[in-house]
Amino acid sequence: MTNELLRLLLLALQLGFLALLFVILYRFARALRADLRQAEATAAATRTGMGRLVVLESPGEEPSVGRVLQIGPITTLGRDLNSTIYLDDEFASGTHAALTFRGRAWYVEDRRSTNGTWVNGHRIQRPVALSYGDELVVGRVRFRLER
Amino acid sequence: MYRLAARRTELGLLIPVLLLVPLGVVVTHIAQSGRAELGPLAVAVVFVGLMLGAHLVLAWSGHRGDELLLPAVAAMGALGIVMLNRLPQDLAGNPAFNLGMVGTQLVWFGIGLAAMVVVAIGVRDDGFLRHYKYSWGLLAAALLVVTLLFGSEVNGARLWIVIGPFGFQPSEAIKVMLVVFVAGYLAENRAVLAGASLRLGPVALPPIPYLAPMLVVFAAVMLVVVVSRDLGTALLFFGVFLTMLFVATGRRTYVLFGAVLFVVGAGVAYLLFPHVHERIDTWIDPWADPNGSGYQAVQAIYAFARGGLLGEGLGQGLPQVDGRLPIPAVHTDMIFAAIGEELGLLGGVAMLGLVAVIMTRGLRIAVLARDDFSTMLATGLAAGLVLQSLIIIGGNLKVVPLTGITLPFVSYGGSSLLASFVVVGLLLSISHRSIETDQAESAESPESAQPEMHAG
Amino acid sequence: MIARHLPRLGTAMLAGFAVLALAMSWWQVVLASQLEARPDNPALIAAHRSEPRGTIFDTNGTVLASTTVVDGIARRAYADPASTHLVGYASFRYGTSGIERAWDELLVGLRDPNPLHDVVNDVLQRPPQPHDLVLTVDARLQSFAAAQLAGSVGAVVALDPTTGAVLAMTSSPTFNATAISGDPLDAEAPWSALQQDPGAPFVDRARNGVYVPGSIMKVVTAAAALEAGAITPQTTFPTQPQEEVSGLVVSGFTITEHDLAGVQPALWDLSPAMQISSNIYFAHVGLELGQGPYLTGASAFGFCEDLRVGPADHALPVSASSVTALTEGGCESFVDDAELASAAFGQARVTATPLQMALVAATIANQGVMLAPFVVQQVRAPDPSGTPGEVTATYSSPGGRTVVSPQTAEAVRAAMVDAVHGPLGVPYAGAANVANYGIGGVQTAGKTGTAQRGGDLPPHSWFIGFAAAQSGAAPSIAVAVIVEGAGPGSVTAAPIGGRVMAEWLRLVGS
Repeated sequence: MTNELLRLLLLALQLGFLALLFVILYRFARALRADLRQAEATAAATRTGMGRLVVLESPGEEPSVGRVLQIGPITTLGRDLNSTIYLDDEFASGTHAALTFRGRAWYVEDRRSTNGTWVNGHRIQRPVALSYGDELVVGRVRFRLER
Repeated sequence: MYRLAARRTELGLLIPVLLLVPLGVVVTHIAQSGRAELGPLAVAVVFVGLMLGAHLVLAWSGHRGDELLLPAVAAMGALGIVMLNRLPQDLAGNPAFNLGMVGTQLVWFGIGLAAMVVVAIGVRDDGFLRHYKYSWGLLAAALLVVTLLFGSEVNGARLWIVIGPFGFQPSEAIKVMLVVFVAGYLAENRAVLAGASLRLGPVALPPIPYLAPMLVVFAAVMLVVVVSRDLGTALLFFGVFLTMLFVATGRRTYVLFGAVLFVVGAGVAYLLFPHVHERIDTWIDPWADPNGSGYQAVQAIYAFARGGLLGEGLGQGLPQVDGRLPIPAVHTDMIFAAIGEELGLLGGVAMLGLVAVIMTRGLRIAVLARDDFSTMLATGLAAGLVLQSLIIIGGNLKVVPLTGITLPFVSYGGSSLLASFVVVGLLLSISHRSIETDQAESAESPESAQPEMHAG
Repeated sequence: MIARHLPRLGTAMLAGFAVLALAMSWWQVVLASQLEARPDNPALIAAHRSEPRGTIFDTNGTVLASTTVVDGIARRAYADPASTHLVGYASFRYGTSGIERAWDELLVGLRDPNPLHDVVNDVLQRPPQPHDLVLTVDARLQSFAAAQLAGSVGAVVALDPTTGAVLAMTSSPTFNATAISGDPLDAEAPWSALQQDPGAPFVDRARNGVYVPGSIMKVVTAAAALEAGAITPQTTFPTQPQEEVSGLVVSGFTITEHDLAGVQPALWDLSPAMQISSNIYFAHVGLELGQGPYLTGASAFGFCEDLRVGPADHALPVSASSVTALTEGGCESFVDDAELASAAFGQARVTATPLQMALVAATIANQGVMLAPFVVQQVRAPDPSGTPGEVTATYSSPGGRTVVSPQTAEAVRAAMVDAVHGPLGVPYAGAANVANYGIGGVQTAGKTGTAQRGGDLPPHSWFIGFAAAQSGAAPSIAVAVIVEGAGPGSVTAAPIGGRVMAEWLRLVGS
């Protein structure tokens, strides 16, 4: 008889263990859903553009290190005040470089600057496609292209 | 305090997960002793302590990485610890620790969690991975060669390097290094192809940048199959590589080409090498030699059959004959069969659910990552964990040939645990960085959203 | 964008999860009970070793197989080698056979005859409750039949024609199954000795011995032809007397008569043809019936398909008997009429198991209705006193079918009675008359067979018959006897058949 009771107890505990497993899965499912909603909201708020430039190094005041600059499909960089992104750096030319988004990827081209435009440590000779995560140096200002 | 309030989701998910181990340990004790009492709870206390500790360190450091990953990993680990605690403790265990199997495993959990926390918090910049991708690739290749030359054989596969009392499986580390190399390579070369495809005119596009490394990895993988006899690792490496290739290019034809290459290679190996031949034959019909080569496979299937829907109950399955467990590798490769037997179909499906959670989070982290390298890295790392789980579970279930790889976070084994926790640490760090930059941007958005203002 | 491909990757991986979940359901739910019943499942082996196994009783409660647990190892003991092939063995090392195999889960207690109890026991994880089995066989008849075969190679099958119950089923040579059960280490030497024995003692000749039937097939030929209306009991073949001497030419092949031992050929109808066992007459009957109808008629008796003893989920398998060659869907067509003519008297490619031929006799005895054979009549709860306990399930014949009409059966019965009692038959099947063995007032029906094997091999000696066989009597036993290579049926098999039937009538009468 006690054996029978023990078996009942073990059965109850086994069912309890399985139930707990599925409670855990349910909570994961709920957390996943909540997170998805929140992520959509965040994305809507902060990720409207096609990309952005993070300023990693900048000797001048403008732009300041750590700034995150949203960029449009045609973005020019240079010391000229009419550039989309103004660089307060004497090593930069007036109209130094241009970033263009063409279909699937970002391209950077040098606008015949004095000191050149550098991607991942290489000076570019012609328009070059960029990957997210590539580092771009214009004058002495160093950027990283991000999504 | 702000920081104590952090990672609330993680804590909320972790609490029911941590109840699993005490409950499982108690059920096992009652079933094995036949007495309705709690029994020793040290295993449960240590496990709960370790997991809570890892959570608290992350919270205190202000870590903003994914909050579902640790609880999902903890749940898999909990099932693993419950099963290992239920098995005879002399099955395995490092004599250096003298703690029995489950004790040794807990020590590795501690080491693994520590490594995870250090990587998650410490890796603020992935430059050392990104810029030295070729070095990591060479290191992986070197480790592979060393293992093939000097490794010791266990169960017919050359997988281990033994130094003193400690042995480790380099394939676990190689897997991570390979992912770093491939992620770096694909992130760098992806744009080249994207650019080429934009060019006008009849431009032939031989995807040499993809084809070349694919063939190199394929050759390496085949080398693994032939020399180390480690079918599972080979399948895993190639699977992860193809997954990353697909995500980088979006071309199913490459994946198809890779899969065909693998099948042809496996077919040649089948014809040329008797051990591969035997593995495949055993897979097709384990009952041809149920007491010899087919023994593990047949016994795993019997274990699943005994389990049924609800399972035999913790501590109540795995009938012993002459004091021997029915499945020899029940604590490592075949642990999923034991779970299927004692927790039934429901327990097995729950385990699959947990793997699916890890997959979902891994892919989510990849989507949210800010740069290509991080995306590729997260994809590869997550695919590694998920494919490894699928391959070994599929092997247990006779869906694919049975191979000697572990079920991450569940199987007994220090190398596997440590490597898997490092992977989770890397995923957490990628996740943290993408969320951190989001936050930085939000804080500054009034200015930075309109850079034109400064131009004017 | 890279991120675009990630959801597709997720979908592909989810497909992998779905496949695994399906595979898991396949093993754990769909195939579970089937796999659990396999004899090499460790759950069964472990249960075998520690748990007592159910006792097997004969119909009178005599123990045939029982288990005692010594030092934690269950030892199985078998009462009589006469029943070895039927009861089987349960060896830890070498698995199970016979009833021990077919009823393994119940004997071990992993399953209950009542499926509802199964669910309750499973949910509560109760330890296995072994069940006892009560067979239909009578241990006394079983030993008697085995004693008749002692020293020779062959089999005896005895059925109750009115119920389908197996009364005795024994195969020779036999062996002592106790030696290979019990302690696995002690079993090795006797096991390998038995395996190397040239007499193949492991083969159950009653179920799995497939022999040329010879003249006993004429019973099938006659029944099929009468049923189809191809002949009547009065049909004669005018050319037959001449052909007894010169031979019958069919498709260019000459069929000759066996040695008639001084009997002068005449214009015979069914009864004398059966008595004398005329090959020429039955060749004509077969040709009259035709190739297709012959196969149909034989198939109705159970030829051309696998048979079994007992219900489908606890079946003792019986090898298929055949008229031509077995294919997937039954017997293939005859090559030509010459083959049909030879098959009609049980030669050519015809083969039959003793159990099949016992069923033929039982069907004629039971007015043309064939009852599927069974050997376990009750499952009983274990009783500590060592006697059969409470009945938890009963079994009867798993099915019956009308093979031939009562009129056909009556005509064949009359011819078979004449074969034993008639003036021409006495030298052939007269030895089967139960009156020779002390049973008076009862007629016997029978047919001998002398199955030619070609070359210089001595023929197999066959007999089938039943008793009591007089018109209107209720037959209580039908038998089939084969003794391998023992010459004419009249010399060896017929007396054994007669003695076994007489012994049964004596046992029933007392």
